[in-house]
Amino acid sequence: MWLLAILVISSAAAFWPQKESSKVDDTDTIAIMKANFLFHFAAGNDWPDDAKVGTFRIGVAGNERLVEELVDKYAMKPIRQQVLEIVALSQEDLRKGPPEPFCHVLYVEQGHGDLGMLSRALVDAPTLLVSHESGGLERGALINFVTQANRLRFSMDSEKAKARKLLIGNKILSWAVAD
Amino acid sequence: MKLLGFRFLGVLLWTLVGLTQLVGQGMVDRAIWFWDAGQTDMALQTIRAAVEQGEDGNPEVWYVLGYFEKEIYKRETPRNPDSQHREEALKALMRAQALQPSGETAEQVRQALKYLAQTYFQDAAAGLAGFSPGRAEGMSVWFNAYVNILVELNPADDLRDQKAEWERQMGQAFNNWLSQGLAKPEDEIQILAEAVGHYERSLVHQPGHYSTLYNLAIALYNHGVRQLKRIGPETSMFELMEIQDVCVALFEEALPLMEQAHALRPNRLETLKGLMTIHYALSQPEPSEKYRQQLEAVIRAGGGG
Repeated sequence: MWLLAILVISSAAAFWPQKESSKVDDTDTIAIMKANFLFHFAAGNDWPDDAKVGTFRIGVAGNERLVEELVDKYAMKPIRQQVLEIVALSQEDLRKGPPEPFCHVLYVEQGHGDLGMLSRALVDAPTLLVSHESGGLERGALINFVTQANRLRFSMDSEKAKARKLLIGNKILSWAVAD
Repeated sequence: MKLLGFRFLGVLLWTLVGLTQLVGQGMVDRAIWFWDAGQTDMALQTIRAAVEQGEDGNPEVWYVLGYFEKEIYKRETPRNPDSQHREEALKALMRAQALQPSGETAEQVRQALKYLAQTYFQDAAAGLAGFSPGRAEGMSVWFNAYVNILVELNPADDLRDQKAEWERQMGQAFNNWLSQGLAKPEDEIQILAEAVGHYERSLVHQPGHYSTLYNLAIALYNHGVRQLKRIGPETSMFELMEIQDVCVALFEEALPLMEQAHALRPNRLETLKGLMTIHYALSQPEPSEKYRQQLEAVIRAGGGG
């Protein structure tokens, strides 16, 4: 009995139950934030009347996890009177120009679409073109995600948005940062 | 005449001391007799009376009291980790040990204390296996009792490794409670603080310990991710920015810890993945990509140890 007790004390480490290491949560944190931003861009801005009929579409090119996040959390939420639809797009879908049918918000991940070509093709269309790349606004995006102090922020070209008959909401404007 | 008087007083004093010892010894013997006869209550009353009647400097009396309490504790079914008898046994046996017993009594006291140490350790370890935050305080009391006994028995022993392991295990237990989604949202901050506190105390005992650094980094990072996961359609832009601030602070706290762990074991897959993920969450794509490539290279080389 005492031998057992001594063994237990001297080899205490063998009795510790919590041996396994924790695992890093590999949820795409940036996708979570982008999804919420895109939802606010959809809900916080205003479109011309002829774009307020039918389905409200957010198209996403080149980011499957962002599509999943939007579908999981936001797809059932209406944008004003419109049903929200999330459209997953490939690089191929954008090769010849803007996607069909019309997307109210079009997010293009870096390297998955030619922003300049899309911007030119959308010059008369009220599509809020969103990017996440250096110089995104110069290349034609109306909103571009940027990183400031390790935080995801966005800059915007509100003049160009106005020219496309998009009315940028005050709350959205107030959170925009310099490019 | 004066000398005779002093001699008389000396003899009287010696006789009194002797008589007291005889009375004390008699009470111990009587207590043992009651015990052997199965009269537990009488045995306890008698030995306690011996302590109260001037025998509190006698290690053998304390040992017998401790032995009785220990045996009563052993008989409890089911074994009660909060048993008053174990606490009383511990007090009595520690008192006996402090009085520096000799001979057979010394060995008996040591063995009885070792037995109690074993039970305290087992209760603490069992608490970890079926952990809940409400039991944490009691578990620490048991572990500290175990440590105190070991220190009393072998003051020169270095127990830093055991203390570090205990704190690491407690940190891990709190961390698992969070990661398994068992904490109420309003309790999460407190549970995280407990996990972090235990990991940090572990690092005081064992600075630069790989597993502690890694798990502490994960605890902080994953807590940030949990906050982000709550973001949804009802989250306002203002709240989004606030949540982001909180999360980035947690990610920034986690990063140097993960880097320290990585420096200790540069080819561990879990730390490479951790660094890749934390940098990504901090919107730092270049370092994230660098660690992704390292991770791939280690996997291709069949490493990861």
